[in-house]
Amino acid sequence: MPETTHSFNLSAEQSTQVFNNLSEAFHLWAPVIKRKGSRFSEQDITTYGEPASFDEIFLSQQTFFSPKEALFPVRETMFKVDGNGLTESPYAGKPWLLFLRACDVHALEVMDAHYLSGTQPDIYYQRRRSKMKIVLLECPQPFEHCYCLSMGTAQTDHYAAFIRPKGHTHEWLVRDSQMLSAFPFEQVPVENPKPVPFNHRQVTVPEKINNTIFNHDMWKEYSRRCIACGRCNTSCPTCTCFSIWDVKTKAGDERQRIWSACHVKKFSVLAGNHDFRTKNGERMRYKVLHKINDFKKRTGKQMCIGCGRCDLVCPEYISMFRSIDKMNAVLKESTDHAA
Amino acid sequence: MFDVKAVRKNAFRITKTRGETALRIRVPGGHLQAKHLAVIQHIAENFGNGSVHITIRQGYEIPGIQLKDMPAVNQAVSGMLTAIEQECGLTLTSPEQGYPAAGARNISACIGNRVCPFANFDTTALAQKIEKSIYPNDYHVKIALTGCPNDCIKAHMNDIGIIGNVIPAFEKNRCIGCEACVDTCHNRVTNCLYMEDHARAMDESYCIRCGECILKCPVAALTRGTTLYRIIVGGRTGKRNPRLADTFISGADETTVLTICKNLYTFIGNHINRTMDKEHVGYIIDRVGYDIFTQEILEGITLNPEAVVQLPVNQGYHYRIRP
Repeated sequence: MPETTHSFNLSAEQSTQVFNNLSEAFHLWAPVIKRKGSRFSEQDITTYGEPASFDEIFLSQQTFFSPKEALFPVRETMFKVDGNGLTESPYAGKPWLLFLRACDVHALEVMDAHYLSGTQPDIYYQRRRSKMKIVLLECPQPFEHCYCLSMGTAQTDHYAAFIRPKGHTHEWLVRDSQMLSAFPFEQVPVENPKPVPFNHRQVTVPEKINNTIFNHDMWKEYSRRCIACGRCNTSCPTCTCFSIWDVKTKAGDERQRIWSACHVKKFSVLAGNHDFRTKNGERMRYKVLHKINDFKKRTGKQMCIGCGRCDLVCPEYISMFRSIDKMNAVLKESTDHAA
Repeated sequence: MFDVKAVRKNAFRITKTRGETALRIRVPGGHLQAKHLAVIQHIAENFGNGSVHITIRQGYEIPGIQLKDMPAVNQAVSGMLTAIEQECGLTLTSPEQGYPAAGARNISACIGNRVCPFANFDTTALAQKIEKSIYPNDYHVKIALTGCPNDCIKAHMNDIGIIGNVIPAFEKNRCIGCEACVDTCHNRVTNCLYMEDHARAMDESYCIRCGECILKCPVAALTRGTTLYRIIVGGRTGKRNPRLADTFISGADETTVLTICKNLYTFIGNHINRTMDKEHVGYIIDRVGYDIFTQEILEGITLNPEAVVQLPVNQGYHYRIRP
């Protein structure tokens, strides 16, 4: 902990005052309930959004969608084209303040590895990321599907502030000096953020993926079950694929980058309409192996952060978590066989 | 010995076995607290023949009851009857005398959005509101509600059918162009969607507001806008001219639905041929004509801006009638 950490225990009124102060300087992005926002009629949805007041920040349920839109908009204009040439899309506005759980902070680091590593950082990502601060949320209890302890994402040191509900009050830690003016209150000692005490699920990610896994019949099950709706991708905090499209808009012609997803059709279509990954089981294999193997080979970091949102949102009850377990079983079987 | 007309009005049937009747239990909206099944069982085992028939309109019919036992059966049913009607916001004046009317048939509903992902509204809740506005009533009218145009309850076979609709709200800057909505509309509905600028576009004149596209969207670019109802009228089976109901008002709001159901009974009262044993409402509409029907059934209604009244055109088919 840096020495400059300040700590508070605030009443609902005081936290509201903090919220209002922060709202002036920041664009807030937090778990909220959207009333009747589900795809099903008259059903609410918990997801990321802009809370209008402090008590709209909703901490007791997992969000359906991840916070990634804050950094990676669904459709982002790269530049506009008119008779005078190209105009790069401007980016202005307040910096964003993201209310994230530890796993989602790790997801941000995965996105950083995607977009900021290498010789040429992605400017569209970078210009959002550089103006972003994190308020860490504590998980006193695990959600049904998450397995952060298995993925090493239950704790983080990357945050500007921290909030913990405590009875009728909220404990805050503030490390960022720019945010401190929003807290005109007496300090009291507050315990450091704690990781979730346990998960309902534990998994060991296989170290070595070989052709036995790649060619195994286990993926055929997903060809039968998966309907290629793409929800696992769109809700995943580390899915960052996009396609580039030139589109007409009311404002003129522009080049946009638009979310793409390995589970939806046409993702793997090449010139000449050749599609090299048509079976849904192959798509599942591609996604799972990317999340727990390929990305780690390149960056040393697991891409899957174990939030379990893909389980939560899958209409076919397909589980990423179970697929990892199945790989372990396959590997064990092949090792036993070799021995 | 028995006043047959009073027996029938009391929801008891005149059966083919002399002295024997059957009691029809109303279940508005087709949804029942499970505790009431014990009452149905009690009546069937103590007054009936121990069996229960599940009716096409989602009620129960308890056969094998002796006509002479009607007062005792009415006593036995009164608690459940009171509770079921109270759930609809209706207080009956003398429930110990059993059902006060049997003309207005049980209002049926598909399972609706309490369970089904496709349903655009709570069919049971609206059925119960309709029950409150029309029961008790002696005219023979069939009303059914269905959550979406799949029409699982077969509202098309009713005098009035209420079909749940939703206007999809679309946020283009959230569309990933996955074509899931376009494909489902093409394969299952009216193909009103197409792709433009790598985003979903729509020819609104073809949209039947089923909500299928909203269910398929993996990004919530499509969400639920206003809930509305399509009111279809004139559906019937029978021995003369069976036909499916046809659209009368599309885009109606809840107030319009409730008022139209109520007004239908007034329309019948104004025009029914009292020299006949029983004239069915569909035939009254045919005889009186849609101009007068429309005028009377819209009495006192200020239509919401989305509502469009149209002329039902489905003629169904006629059995050959000897000249």
